[in-house]
Amino acid sequence: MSSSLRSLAVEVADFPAVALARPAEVPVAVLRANRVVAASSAARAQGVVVGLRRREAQSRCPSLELHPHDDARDARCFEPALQALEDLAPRIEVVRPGRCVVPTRGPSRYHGGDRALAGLVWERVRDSLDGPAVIGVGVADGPRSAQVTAFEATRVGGPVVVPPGATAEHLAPLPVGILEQVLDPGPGRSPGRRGAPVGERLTDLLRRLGVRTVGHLAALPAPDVSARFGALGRAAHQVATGAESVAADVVDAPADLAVIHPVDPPADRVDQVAFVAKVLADQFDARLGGRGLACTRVLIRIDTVDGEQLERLWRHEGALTPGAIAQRVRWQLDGWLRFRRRAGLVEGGVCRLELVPDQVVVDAGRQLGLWGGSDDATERALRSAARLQGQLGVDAVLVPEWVGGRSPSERIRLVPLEGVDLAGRAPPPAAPWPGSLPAPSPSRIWSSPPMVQVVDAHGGPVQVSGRGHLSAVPVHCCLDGRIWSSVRSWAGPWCSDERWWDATAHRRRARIQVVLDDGGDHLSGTGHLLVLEAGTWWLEATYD
Amino acid sequence: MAGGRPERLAALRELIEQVQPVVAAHEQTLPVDPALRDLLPFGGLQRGTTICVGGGPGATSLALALVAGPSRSGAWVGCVSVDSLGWVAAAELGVDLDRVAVVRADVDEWPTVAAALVDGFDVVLCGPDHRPDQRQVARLAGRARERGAVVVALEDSASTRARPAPGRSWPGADVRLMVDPASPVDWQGPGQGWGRLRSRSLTVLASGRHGADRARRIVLGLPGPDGVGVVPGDVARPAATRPAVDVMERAGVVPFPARSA
Repeated sequence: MSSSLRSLAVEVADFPAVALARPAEVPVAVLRANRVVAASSAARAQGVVVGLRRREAQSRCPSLELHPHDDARDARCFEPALQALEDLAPRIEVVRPGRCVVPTRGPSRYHGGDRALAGLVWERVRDSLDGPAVIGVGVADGPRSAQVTAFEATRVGGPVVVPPGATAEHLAPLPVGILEQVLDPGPGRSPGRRGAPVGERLTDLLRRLGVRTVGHLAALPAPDVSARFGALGRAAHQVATGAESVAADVVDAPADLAVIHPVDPPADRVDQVAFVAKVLADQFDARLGGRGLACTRVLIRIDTVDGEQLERLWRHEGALTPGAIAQRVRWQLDGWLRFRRRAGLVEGGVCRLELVPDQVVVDAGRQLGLWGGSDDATERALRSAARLQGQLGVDAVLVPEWVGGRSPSERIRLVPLEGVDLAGRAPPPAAPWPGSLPAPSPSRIWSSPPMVQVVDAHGGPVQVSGRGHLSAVPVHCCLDGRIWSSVRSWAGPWCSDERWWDATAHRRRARIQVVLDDGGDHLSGTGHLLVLEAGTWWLEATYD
Repeated sequence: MAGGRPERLAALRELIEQVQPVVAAHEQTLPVDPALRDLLPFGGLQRGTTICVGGGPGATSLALALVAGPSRSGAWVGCVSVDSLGWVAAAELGVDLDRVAVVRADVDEWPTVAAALVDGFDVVLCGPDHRPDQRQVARLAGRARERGAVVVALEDSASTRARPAPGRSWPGADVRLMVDPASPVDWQGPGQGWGRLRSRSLTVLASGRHGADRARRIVLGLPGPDGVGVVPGDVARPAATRPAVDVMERAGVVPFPARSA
């Protein structure tokens, strides 16, 4: 077992919530695409868990504070912790805001062993963060197993040190799902083609095949795992067996792959540098791609006119795309500038930007079409999309993607252009979803549906019984709380009972279509889709 | 060879005049669905122009049907401030979703986003979620003219909020397509508790300038008979007859008028 891979990992639980720096007693949740991605401990105590919808989270904890997810904010808040760790050990690799890995060989010897180093790291990180946070520190035989150990250590709330050579035994009793932590690039980033991130899909499949713990996976023969699950399965197996080695496909980075860009005149705003970074990252990617390589660890080095140099290693479990590199340059610069300003140091502009591939692997990516796979219109559109990504952030440009679902808003999802393979887009589903409304679909879908009132001829509310019967004929309808319109024609109800096997995601709904007459001044003849849930009617969508 | 240098130069210029292809404005159009050809001058979306779509209910579908043709012929459609648009409906109306990009941006970034989209995309769909002011509209129209992009501006018509007066929100649009709020919008399909929405007939009024100044008025089936696409003319009324009574009762629907307790 080569000791050079032995690593220490730091994991701050629910970092997006910690980064908000709210008092400990305030329940806070961070949302991304209407789903909770992180919740503070006060919110968790009231039952808010990751993966809930906004409305579900609010119903469990009405006083919940909701914030949109912001990668840049997370990166800014993680910077002080990284600066504190740099005093202890060189070559910190940032996996994502809230998680980093440090090779322990030198630092452990200097600070008096793994345990002493882990304790020291734990204290430094705790002191550098503003708010209360649960910090896990794990030491294990490889960078990935260290991350798994650190993730597990967040439940313990302190450092966990696995003795050398005992990684496999230590991980064996853990559920196989924990391996998602090192197979996925991070929450919300680069989702797989079919919605769920690739790591989650693998562990889900393993569970359904009866491989429930990490130990079960480790007991399988490595060649069989490789043959059945490919490169991702092999990576998971290596972590499980504690035999994490430098992967066979890692090759020495050729010296001339680094790209350097002098920024002249020096840039003093983050967005200026980020724009340069995107161009530079594209160039970097093209150079690597020309040799059939992909970069899994990149060193970003930024020089200022004052002669200061800021460098940081970023690790990525997949390969880093140009967009991801540009995003990391932006985070790094943003966090660093904020930190310097707070420390009262004056900074000069950025005069040089350098990207050095620190670890490259043979690219097993997709093969482009014979004719290059893109035409003139696509190229022009992508250029302008790239410019917008540089200005607004990588996630600003989205493309629609077909996913399965019943309600009109569930059938297509907007995903960031960055993570989509334009040459192989998912086609619309060939078979219909049982229970979805047939064409035509509503052309406007309200993201925050207004509450509506539906009454019968006597002014009594219309409800749907448990057997799917309407209690009365809807005659009048009020969409905005002021003007009542009469119902010209209506159809339904169509009931759906979704995810009844899951207590948190279970939804019972009934939908009706109405065509309204004389809705106030001149909205006559508009079709609407109304949905009844828990006794209340909502305007879900409009057939405009 | 007879003649001096000036004569030969003049002859060459004449030759250039003859062989140089002339591209008239109406040749630089993006194709639209055949049913919509009569609405537009030169029968397509003319590059560099702005088209404003609004009026009564159905305007969103009309705008989507308008960009469907270009997207299927390989043009890219860039969309801004379209958070409430239903993309399934767009696909049903013929939009090729592989050629659509949506930009999500704050209101104050709207001019930047729209300008960047006009630079690279063939069709730019400005949704109803944000209404730019007159100066921004004029600047965008100028940029589109220069770059040869088509701007399709969708006015808000469907929301429960009050609509702005027609024609006020996108000044200087080259073509204005209004769903006539005075003509009845007919949905075929739903009855009193049976059937479902299937197709709709609506009347579109087209007006404008630069070749579109003759007002037109056509009736469209939008969506068409199967709930997909767009067809010219009034949609044939499928018999919206009531199903057999036992089916009705099994569905728990009380035949009209309502049974009172």
